[in-house]
Amino acid sequence: MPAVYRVVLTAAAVICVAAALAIPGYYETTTLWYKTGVDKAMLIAGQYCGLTALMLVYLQVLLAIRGDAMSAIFGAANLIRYHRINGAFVALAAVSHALLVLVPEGIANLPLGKKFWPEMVGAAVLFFIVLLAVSSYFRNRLHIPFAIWRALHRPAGYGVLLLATVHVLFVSESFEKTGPRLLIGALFLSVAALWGVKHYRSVRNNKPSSPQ
Amino acid sequence: MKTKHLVPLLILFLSIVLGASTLFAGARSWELDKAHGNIYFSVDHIFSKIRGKFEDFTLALNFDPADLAGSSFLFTIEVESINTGIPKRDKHLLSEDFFDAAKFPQIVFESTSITDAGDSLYEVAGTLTIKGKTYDLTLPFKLEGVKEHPAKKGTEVAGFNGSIMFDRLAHGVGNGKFYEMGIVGKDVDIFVSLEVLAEQ
Repeated sequence: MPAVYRVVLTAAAVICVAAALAIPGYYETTTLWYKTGVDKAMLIAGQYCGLTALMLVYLQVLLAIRGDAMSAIFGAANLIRYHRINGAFVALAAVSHALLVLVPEGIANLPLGKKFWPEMVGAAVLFFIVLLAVSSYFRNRLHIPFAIWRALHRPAGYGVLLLATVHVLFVSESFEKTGPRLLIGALFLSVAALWGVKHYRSVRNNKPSSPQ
Repeated sequence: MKTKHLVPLLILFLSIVLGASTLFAGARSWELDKAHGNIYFSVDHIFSKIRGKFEDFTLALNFDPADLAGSSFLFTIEVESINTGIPKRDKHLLSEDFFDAAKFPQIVFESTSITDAGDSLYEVAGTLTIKGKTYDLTLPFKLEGVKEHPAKKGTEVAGFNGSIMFDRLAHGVGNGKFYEMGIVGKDVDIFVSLEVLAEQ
């Protein structure tokens, strides 16, 4: 029976990712109209990398929550392993996204300042994602005590979940349309609700929400 | 040196200093009222007009209609301050496709001569430095008037308005790609509207 659930859940995740990745093609940004050749290709690739990163962040939080049902279906040890692997892909997609969208506009022409606040939020998200990945993969080499690492890793991770969503919803006019807003909003609220339920149960039972 | 020689020497010195400062003072100096000084532009986008402005610029102005030889305009525009109301479009305008603001952060217009064209119109000839190249350019400014500032006693306000048609491609603002695609026009209407202040 868990095998069926595994297939169903994996298929649901793939459908969500596919739906999100369809957004830049279906709701094309006007920025693309003014790009040609390599610049246009890079910008399109950058958009896909960005949305992939967001979907992987949602998945990352689900893997971190490790609800009872998920643990029963996939196995707690597997979920931890997937979480580590997925973290590397999140960092890779986020860094690729930043490079692919910034290079066509010129690295010296960075979107800085108040009127570019969604891009600045994106820069903060990228910083935290890289920090989370580096501090996790090199925790031993960096001599970071586990308790301190975990105390910082969790809030930073949930911060990334929130800020990445804000970044995506406000950085591109593709997300000014109802469909894309609803999709991203629904995915974010679903993940946040699952985290809320898990957190509530942990507090009620007075135990850590996801023992390592 | 005796004290009796000191006084005449001091008078002579002050006479020279004051005389020289009067001689080289040039025309009256005016200060830009930043809240009421604007550099607007308008350019075609396919069928519509896109309007924008440069929000950060300075003006060093010496002006006296009776002393045009001693009058001068010096505009320094911060390219980063361009605002068309859409941040992403502003960013595109700052990119290499148009202003390349990272390499050329300022546009400077410095007058070389001012001619009275009659009917309060002044032809301000000078050099425009944009994207590292310098071009001759004449800005026609109409002096709208000079009077005591209605809101600030003891201060005079003068007003200038002027507009020109600016061929952006002839001045290196863009390589013609978007013009050839029929998207962005090459002729830019520039409208400069200024209020300047001076002590009475």
